[in-house]
Amino acid sequence: MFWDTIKKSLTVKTIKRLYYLLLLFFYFCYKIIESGWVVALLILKGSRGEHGGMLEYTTIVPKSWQLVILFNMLSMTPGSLSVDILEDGRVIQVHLLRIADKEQFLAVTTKIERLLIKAL
Amino acid sequence: MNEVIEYIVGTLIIISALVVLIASVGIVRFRNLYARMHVVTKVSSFGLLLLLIALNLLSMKFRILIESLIIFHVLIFLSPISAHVTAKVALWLNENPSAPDKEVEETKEKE
Amino acid sequence: MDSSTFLEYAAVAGLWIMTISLVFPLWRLFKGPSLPDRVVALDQSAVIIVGIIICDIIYSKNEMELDVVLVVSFLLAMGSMIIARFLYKQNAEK
Repeated sequence: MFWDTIKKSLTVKTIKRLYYLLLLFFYFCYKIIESGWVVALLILKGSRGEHGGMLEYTTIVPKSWQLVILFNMLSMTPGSLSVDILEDGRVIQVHLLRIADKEQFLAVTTKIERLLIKAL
Repeated sequence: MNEVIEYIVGTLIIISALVVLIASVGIVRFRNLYARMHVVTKVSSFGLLLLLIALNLLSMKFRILIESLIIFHVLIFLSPISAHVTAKVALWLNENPSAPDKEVEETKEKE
Repeated sequence: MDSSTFLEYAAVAGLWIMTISLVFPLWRLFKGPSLPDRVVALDQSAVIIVGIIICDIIYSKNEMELDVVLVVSFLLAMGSMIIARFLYKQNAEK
């Protein structure tokens, strides 16, 4: 009974999903360590937290629980802190520590989004 | 083997204590409220991650591993939520996100 | 230096560094221009207290104190959420 349900659900699609979920987990662990290190180095260099700014980012993730996970992950990537979700549920308001790092933030976020959609 | 692990654990403790010291210096030095929130969510949880790794290296027990995983989960998934609530209140109180702090003007009441 | 004495000295040094670093959030707590600044400073001081308790676990080898760490780190997140909610309600009435 128990093994039958496991055998039935063990298709190629599920294995692919599991693989992408594992990839997302390890990428997230790497990002946590990198973000702590980057901000600590920024303090040691004598930065005073100026040149920050707000940004509105439009997501493409379809489901609501993916939006919640993306919202929590954006706070842990280096240099970005998610502030609010605007009313239509597609736009996330993000505060960047240095507004000049916009391209790097966009690259990291699109990578996380693609991994989330594949790990659906 | 046991001695090497003890040397590694001692170095990890000193490194993580220095990281926490850097974070609390950043709390004082940064001029903007939102920049301070960056420090609290990222650098402090990085320092605590190093401390939990050191504790797990010292005592290889399954119960300690599970309990420290729960603590780290709470730190990772609940501190962005509290930062979100605080930032939303600050935005609602009309704080400009890129301007430095204003000095509080003390109103001198004349009798 | 022997390895166990090195570990003991490192734990004591960690306790001292973290106790000294508790001064900076306290200064921000007194000085902070607005009320959300004080909430952030309280959050940071709670994180430092969690670090102090973990250093004490390594120094005294008493692993039952990890339950204390669990409760404090849960109160850390919940407390700042409750204070922010209180600020929101207090200002909405005006």
